[in-house]
This record gives sequence, C-alpha cells and structure tokens, in this order.
Amino acid sequence: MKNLTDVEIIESVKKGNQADYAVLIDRYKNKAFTMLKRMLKNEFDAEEVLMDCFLKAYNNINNFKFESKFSTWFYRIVYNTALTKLSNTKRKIESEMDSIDDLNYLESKYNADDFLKNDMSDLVRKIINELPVKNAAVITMFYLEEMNTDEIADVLQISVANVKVILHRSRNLLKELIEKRNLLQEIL
Amino acid sequence: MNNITDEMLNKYLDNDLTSAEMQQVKSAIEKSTELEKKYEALLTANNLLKKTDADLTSGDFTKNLMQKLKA
Repeated sequence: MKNLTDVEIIESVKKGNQADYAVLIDRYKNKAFTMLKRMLKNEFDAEEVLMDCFLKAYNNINNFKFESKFSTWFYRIVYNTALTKLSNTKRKIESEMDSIDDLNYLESKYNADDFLKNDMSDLVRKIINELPVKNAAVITMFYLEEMNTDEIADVLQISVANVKVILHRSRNLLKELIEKRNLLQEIL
Repeated sequence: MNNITDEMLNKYLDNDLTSAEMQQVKSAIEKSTELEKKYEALLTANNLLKKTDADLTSGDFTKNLMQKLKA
C-alpha cells in the first residue's frame, strides 16, 4: 500500500476504503506540520490545524478531480486554513506587519557571531521559524516538499514571479549572514 | 565588481536564466573572487535549507485522526 501513488490511494478512498487514507496522512503529515508550525509559530496550533486540514481534505475528496497533483490541492487547504487560523488570532496583526520586503529585522537580530558560536543547521532552523508567513510557506514547499515554483504559485494563488521574489529574498537573508560569518572568520 | 545582481545569482543557482545569461554569470564568477565568495555563500545557504529536516507530529497523530474519521 505504501508504494501506491497518491492517485491510486485517492481512488481507493473514493471507493470507500477509508483505512487507506492513513497512508496519505502518513505521507504528508510531517512536512505539512512543519509548514504549519513555521507559519503559526506554535506547535499545538499547528497540529490542531493539521488535523482540521486532513478532515477537510477527506470530506471533500470527491471534489478532487485529479486536475492537479494531490499535494498542490492539499497544500492549498493547509495554507488557507493556516491563514484563517491567523486571522482569528492576534497574530494576524503581526503577520500583516511582516511584508516580504521586511526581512531586515531578522538580519539585524542574528549576526555573523551567532553563526560562529552556534551550529549552522540549528541557527538556520531558528531563522526559518521566524520568517514571515508567506516566506515560511514558500521555503517549506520548495525545500521540504520539493514543489516547483509553478506549483507553489498555484497553492498561494500568486504569480510565479512573486514566488521567486519570496524565495530569493529568504535565501539572500541567509546568504548575507553567511557572507558576514565568512568575513569574520577571515579576520579572526 | 560587475553588474551581476543577487537576483541573477539566485536565478543562476536555479538554472533559471537563458544560456547566454548563464554563461555571463559563470564567467563573471570565474573572474571575480568577490563574486565567487558571494555565490559560495548563496550555495551554502541553499544547502543548509535543503538539509533542514521536517518536524514530527505527535506519535499517535494518524491513529487519532482515523478515529475522528470513523466517528
């Protein structure tokens, strides 16, 4: 069962084999959870919203017409449900303040010294967890789910050019910090 | 240094330029140590992002969800 494609599993679920949906859950839960945790900045909310997303997907499985990949369809549910959750909390204000142009606060929060003192992977993880909502979603779908920019644009309902801008700015933030670290290492 | 922007370096990394532009960036990186360092930092950033693992849901997540579906 685990070797079946998403399409085969969905066809089986549509025929009434409810138990097969567990395979799809196991396939997507951790990556989608990661995206939600990064967007909502809260582990408990992320798991609660994820459960809601899988329930929504199951209840609407007959509306999935195989016109796109299941991942694109599912991540659209995940992204939109996260936005709804954010809009219901005070974090809405914070997320609205975080524009894609405003990564400077993160660059000033972390410095080259942090990269020298801490494990690079840990620091990158911390920085990703603090990215604005849209940046966090793009980075997760691109690197973790290995979706291409066309698919991400489809999920976020924005242009491919915008997805690339968000991706590049998020990457550049890390690049700048790494450059500063390298410079500091040369001096020391 | 040259007229290669961060935007172009990102597109070079993603193989998202025309072949002429790819060649232009490649040649600029080869000629400039400063640009080479910049590109290496971008590559490091890209590799670190690739290596970041997914977080894990609680162990009984699937079981709890399937029970909700059956209810």
